[in-house]
Amino acid sequence: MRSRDDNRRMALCALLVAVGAVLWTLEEFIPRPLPWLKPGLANVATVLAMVIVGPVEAILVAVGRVLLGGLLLGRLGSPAFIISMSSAIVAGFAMIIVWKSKVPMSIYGISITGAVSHAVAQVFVAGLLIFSPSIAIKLLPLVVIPAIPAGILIAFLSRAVITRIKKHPNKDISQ
Amino acid sequence: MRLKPAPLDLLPILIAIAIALLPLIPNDKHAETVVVYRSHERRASVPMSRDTSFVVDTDIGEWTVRIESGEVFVTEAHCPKRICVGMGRISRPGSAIVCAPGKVAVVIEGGEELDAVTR
Repeated sequence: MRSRDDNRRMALCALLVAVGAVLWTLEEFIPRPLPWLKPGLANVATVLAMVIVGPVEAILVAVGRVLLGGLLLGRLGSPAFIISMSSAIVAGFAMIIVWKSKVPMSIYGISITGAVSHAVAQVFVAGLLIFSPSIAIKLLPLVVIPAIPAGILIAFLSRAVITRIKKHPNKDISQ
Repeated sequence: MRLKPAPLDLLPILIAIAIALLPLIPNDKHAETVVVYRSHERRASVPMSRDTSFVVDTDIGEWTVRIESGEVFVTEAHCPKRICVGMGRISRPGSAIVCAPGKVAVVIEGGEELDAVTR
């Protein structure tokens, strides 16, 4: 039988997947000069899942939100979807590794790690699927530098959510 | 999880900047060279990066080939039609200036060669 705690974790994961998928989908409609230049707000869901629920759930949320977002935009299985999926997973693992390694880094450092690894994974998978890896290397600065402010923004937003959760009277969900 | 920024947060930023600087490392492996062929035999190769001019011996007289700011062209030929001179300047890997009667060709090789579809 599932415990009350298990149910709560599952509900939280479902909520975060939904939030991530909605953010990911809405972000697609923001006009931007270059296709990869988006803040990646959906990563907030992964960061929150990692902090509030746990590392395994963070990866599940990352996969779930891309899957759901791909379903919403009708992109399931397309190169863009494969790029999103693989970079979301890479970013999730990178953040978990940095977090679990006990490096004295705050949520900002972890989020920047996630954003930068997401950008690098994205450009390399795109390099393998769409253009050549040598072009991917040349694109690195254009992709990695905007990831730094994106990571800071995601950390700021996640921090705002976490501090509010901690203030909540029913705050037993956060460690 | 610390919520306030810590000094080590700069580490991923520095790593990101280092990654962004990666393409600036010069890569000689992909450097373009001008290769001279004579009767299908590879005779000489000259790096594209340096501005030079050199003389190539052909079956119908001498060619003067010039490399200038990433472009290769034939400046002088001792034949009536001078088709090779008229071929103008080439700069992309895979392109060539050919003299059929003289049985010579200069080809730009290496660099980022495009695939068969785009060439």
